[in-house]
Amino acid sequence: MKNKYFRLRPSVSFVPIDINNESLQRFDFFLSNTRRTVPVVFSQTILTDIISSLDGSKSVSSIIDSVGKNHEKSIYSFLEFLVYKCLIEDIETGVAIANNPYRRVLNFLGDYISYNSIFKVWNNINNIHVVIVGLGAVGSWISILLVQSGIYKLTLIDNDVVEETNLNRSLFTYKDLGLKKITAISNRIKSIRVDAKVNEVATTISQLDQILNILDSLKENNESILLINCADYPNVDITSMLIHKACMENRIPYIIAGGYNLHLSLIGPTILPYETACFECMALTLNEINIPELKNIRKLPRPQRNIGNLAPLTGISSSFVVNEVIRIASKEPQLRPAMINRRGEYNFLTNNISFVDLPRRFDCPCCGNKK
Amino acid sequence: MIENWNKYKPRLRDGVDIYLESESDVTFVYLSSRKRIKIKCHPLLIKSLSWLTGDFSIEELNSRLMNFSHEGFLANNGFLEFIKYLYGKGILISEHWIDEISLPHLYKKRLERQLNFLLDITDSSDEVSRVQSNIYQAKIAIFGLGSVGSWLCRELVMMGFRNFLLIDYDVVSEFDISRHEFFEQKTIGIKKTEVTQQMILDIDREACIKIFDHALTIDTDLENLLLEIDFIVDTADEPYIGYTGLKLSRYCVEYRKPLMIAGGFDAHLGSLGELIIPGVTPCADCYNTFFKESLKDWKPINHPVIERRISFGGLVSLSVLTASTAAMTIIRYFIDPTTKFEGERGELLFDNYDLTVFSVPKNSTCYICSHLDNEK
Repeated sequence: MKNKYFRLRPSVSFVPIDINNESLQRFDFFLSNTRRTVPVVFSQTILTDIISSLDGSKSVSSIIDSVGKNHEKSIYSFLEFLVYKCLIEDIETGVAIANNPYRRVLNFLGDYISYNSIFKVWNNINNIHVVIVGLGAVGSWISILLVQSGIYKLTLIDNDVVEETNLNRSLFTYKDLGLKKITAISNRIKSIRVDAKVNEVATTISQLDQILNILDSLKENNESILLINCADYPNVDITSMLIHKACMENRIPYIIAGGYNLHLSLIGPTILPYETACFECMALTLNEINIPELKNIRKLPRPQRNIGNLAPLTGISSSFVVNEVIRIASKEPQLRPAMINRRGEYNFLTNNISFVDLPRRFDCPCCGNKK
Repeated sequence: MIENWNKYKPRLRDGVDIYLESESDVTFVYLSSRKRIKIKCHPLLIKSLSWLTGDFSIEELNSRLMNFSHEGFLANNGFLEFIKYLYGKGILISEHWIDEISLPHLYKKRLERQLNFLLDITDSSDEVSRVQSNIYQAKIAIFGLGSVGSWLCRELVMMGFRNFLLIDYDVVSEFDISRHEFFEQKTIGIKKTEVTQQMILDIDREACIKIFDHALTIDTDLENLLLEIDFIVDTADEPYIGYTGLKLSRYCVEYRKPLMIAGGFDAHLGSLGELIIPGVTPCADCYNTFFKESLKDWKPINHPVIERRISFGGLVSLSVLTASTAAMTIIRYFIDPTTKFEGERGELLFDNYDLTVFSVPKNSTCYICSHLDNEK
């Protein structure tokens, strides 16, 4: 640590809260990227002076020299504390981040990951292989947003072709009409990142074997895999069941991408096989809480309904999925996925997000008590 | 409008749920407004509801009914009255309702799913026509084509807005890879206004786009620039988000134009933004006064690092969230400009996706907008 040149992270504010008593001064560190506060009480003003001038120009040794060698141990502890809380970074890391095209993402992650692990975590995120089943509206947004977040290895599974009516909510343009959706998205991805590795699988998943084979071939490369279910064909429930079985068997984390329902954007759950609630756990809970209609009332079945939808609702659903992917890919406990054991709804009429807890069930036929 | 009822092929609107409570009781629930209509009628009429898929004409349905019953009332227009009643309530629609909207055919084709959405969220196909026509004609100015502005512009095009004034002086940089909607390696170095213009034309070849590729300064003549503009979007962060917001808000209050100040700027990555309707909601000065007051004891020290601009963090997913919530607010405004929009600030916290929303009151002594209260 002696030769480190630390600076207060530029996105962190240092705010005096109560400084009347010199031996008990309260300050807040405000991490502005994530709007979180770390309150600290200081017993010596020398420490707040150090922070106020921590601009990356002085090495730790020189700080110790100016304070006095007898304080060496406390200065080290103090700086370690600041590192641990993601409040300071060394200038070398700061410069490396600033030169990286994805510096916004790195600086954001820096609110959760200490500077000395940032690039290790970034490497984890870069190297995950994401399988996306279904390149409809939500799938198209997720693919592109993932590449803009640092992921560059994708397998896209869909057999459909881009049509005019897709343009109101999917990220296609007129130039893509007639192309397979996976090709249109792959082209877009490569225009963002020339070195992106995109497998195009022109299939509709209707059998367990299909998805198992795809996952098996990916496993041969020893890659970390994550799957996102954005399929709605042939039927949400059928595809969800197939994906559930395949992911549980292979212990692959997966996200059920939410869709939308009128004025609700659905925020889908994240499933970590044998760690969190699985698809069948959730079905059990959902069946219990969806209060059945009063006995004599039945809903008129309407097979041909074409519930409308629009772009911003797709954007909202996909944004939450992308957040979850970054969290899972990071492999960091501080960035544990936030959509485990629950699902959510964003109501745009009221600007309200509500969540339903869907806990792991010991009576689950699939994962019960298994580990 | 139905001209020949006998030839009409009644179709139940997708946005209405139907609950059959008994042989002769049925409840219609409008999915969007949750409005309910409960009626009692002849069991055969209730049975006929499942035939109303837009495939069969009144003539055909009448003869099908006659097979089930020879009761006179059905033959004497009982069924037709039932159909007319449901049509009047917007429960039945004309199967060609989209064709009847007078907007270009290709435009409607692209927007088909949105038109269906609007039909679910409003009460009639006439309403849908009105809303989408307003969108079609609206002239929107977007200040700032950055992380939020670029995605918001994309979504506005996707929703059928097509008359744009784009304001941004900047060019695309390699560091925009993790931010902007229009980022491609080949666009690095090109003006953002030009790239955005191309993006719009790739979705709507008939779009009408004007460009102002200079910085917004004290001397910018907003009156002239925004003369024909109906709706203004502020997604700029230079010189400083607060300054641009105030300048635009003061213009909007003076000219009674609506303004969407989107969130998503540094230290407010997950913020939802504010819609300012002069005289109705707080203006930017009201917001400014409120926050100045609530933050008056919160004064960070001068940061030891001088050059900090490039070191703030963000995720494209959060920019998309901000842009999308702003787009939803804008379309809510176009669906019904008299909707009660509250003054509020919403912030999404990344840790657990908690969304905290708190009210911001209109400042009754605001020297910019309080005079509008007296006009009512």
